[in-house]
Amino acid sequence: MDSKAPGKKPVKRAPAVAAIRGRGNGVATWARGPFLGTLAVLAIIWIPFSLLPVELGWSFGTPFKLFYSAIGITGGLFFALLKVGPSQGAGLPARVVGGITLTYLLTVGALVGVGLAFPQFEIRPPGEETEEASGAERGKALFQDSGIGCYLCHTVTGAGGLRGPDLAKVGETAATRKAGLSADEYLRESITNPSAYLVANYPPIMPPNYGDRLSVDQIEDLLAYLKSLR
Amino acid sequence: MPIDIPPFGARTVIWVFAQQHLFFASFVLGAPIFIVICEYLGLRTKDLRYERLARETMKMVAVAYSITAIFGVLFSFILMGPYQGFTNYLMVRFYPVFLAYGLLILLETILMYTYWYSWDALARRKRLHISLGVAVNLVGTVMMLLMNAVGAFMLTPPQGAEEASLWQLINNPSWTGLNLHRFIANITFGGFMVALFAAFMFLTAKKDEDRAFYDWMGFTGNLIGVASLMALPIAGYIYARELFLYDASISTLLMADKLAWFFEVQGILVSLLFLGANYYMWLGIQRIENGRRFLSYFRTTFAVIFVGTAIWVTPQNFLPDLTTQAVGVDLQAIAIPEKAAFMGLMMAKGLAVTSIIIMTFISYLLYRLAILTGRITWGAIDSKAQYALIFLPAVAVYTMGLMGAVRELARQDFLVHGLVQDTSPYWYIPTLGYTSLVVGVNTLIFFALMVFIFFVGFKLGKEG
Repeated sequence: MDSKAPGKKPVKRAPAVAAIRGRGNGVATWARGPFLGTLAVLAIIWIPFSLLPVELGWSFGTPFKLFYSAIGITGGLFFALLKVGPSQGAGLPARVVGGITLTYLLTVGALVGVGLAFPQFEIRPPGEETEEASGAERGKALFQDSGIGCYLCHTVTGAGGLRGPDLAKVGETAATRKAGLSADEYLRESITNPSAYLVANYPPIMPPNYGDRLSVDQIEDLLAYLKSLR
Repeated sequence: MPIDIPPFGARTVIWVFAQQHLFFASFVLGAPIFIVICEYLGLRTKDLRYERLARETMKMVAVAYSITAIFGVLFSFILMGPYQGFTNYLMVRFYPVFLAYGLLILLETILMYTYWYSWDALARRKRLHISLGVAVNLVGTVMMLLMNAVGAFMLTPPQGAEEASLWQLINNPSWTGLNLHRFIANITFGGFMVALFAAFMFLTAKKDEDRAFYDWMGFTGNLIGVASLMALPIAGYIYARELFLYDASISTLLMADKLAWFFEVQGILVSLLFLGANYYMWLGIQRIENGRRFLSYFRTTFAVIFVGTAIWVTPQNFLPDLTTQAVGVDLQAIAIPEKAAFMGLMMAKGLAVTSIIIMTFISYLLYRLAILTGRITWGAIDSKAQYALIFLPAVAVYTMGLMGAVRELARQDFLVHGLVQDTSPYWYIPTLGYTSLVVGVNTLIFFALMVFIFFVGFKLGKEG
């Protein structure tokens, strides 16, 4: 981009500088507003929330800030695109097909990249049962098996779903839940016939077929694990 | 397992062939709906553009129909080898359904090719021709309902499935939700494919009148795609609710456990669809006389989309699933802060997507207002708009592929949830990264085949 006063030689500026300063021709000025807007968004994301005390409950960690920054930068690029002037006609067919293919490839490539960038879980094959593993250990593995699904609704030590009662201390409370039932009997009934006793404030959504899906040994292992939760 | 398919594994190969079948099936089921509507509108309004749109789209459908059937057959054959026990189980439980499906394929083939090849012969008997088109749609819809029954059964078999009647197996708990979601999604898919085709033809057109027509065609296809897209979140919610009522643990798996980050990607994908749709309208309104006065309203829409997206995709934490512990990482840094916890809840996300939908609808109203008060010059649209019409189908196809994977993976290590265990080496849910790669490859394969269809139908073949 060149700028000049009458009678003077043109002064060459780097395109980025010219864009920020807004001088030069119309093509350079389109970036200024979105660029400054993006900087403002990034400043809001990174500065105020870093200064707030954690106790206030508004401190976003770095992963969140990076996450929102990515959205902010994408927004800035999009608003910059809005300012790009009209495009001329299509051109040669080969160029058109190339442009179409490139658009498609870049779109799909970006989406795949997003999928690869997000957190990935580990694939854990079912643990092999050994003679050394106790019933409670086997029961814990069953509890955390996504095919059985206990943890999807029940929380234990802060990890798990929230649809069902927290089982963190169920080993202590099981014997007192239902009159006339021991801890074993109550827990066994809760697994095989969940509608027999409903904990207050929780909906009756537990699948009723665990008695058929689980073997006798699996149920015993689950009982051993649950009774260990104190 | 009896037969595996190296190097990718039987599950991945079946995945690719099944997904291609579903992509093309969605197109050949969704496009005829508005082909018939357009043919009828052409008859009523005498606007020849509707007739041309219907005919050119049907040309694509006729070629795509063969590819749909080929992938269906290949998918079936490839499934039978590695999963012999499972295919036998399905065949025993659903034998009358598969028989009926086969007969309907025959009937649909007869109807579709009669509809296509009689276009000129029945030019003076349009109502009869349109009736044929309606029959094509009805038969196609019944075919979809039959196969949806099998697919839905795999995830939500009815209680007491072993003693259930055939109708109980068909009318299983998630059949209705899947039917509704797929019916609407087929229309969306068809609309975006028409827009993709129109973009391709616009950019390679040599005559002004062709450019004007394909500009209008792209607008119409995009309009159909976006209008039906707005109903998809509601249909998706209804479907998800059916799954929740059937087995709440499925919902937790989808939204809070291993498939939660898949839905994060979904939030980004749907936001991109609305962004692309609004960007197309932004460019389109500039070819309307005095349309530029509405551009500032569009900027507001774009801002709402970005803010809504930020809320929609805000996770509750950055853990990949419910059982992963935050080892060596500050849990506070990767979990949403206490006061902002509402942003991680469904209500906030529902409000965000509703805002995006409402703003898109307002944008469309502004576009209609511009048309009412100014003159539109078809063919004068900025060529960047055509690349928006390429971007949108790319995202739509990817979205469909990813969500299809989510639905199948929700069964976890079952081939039929709770009934038929998957004992193959591929029992597990693959990671989001691997799933994204397979979906990406599927999207590109589909694109390549659609380009082939465009080329065969409109560059090599004579105008039909």
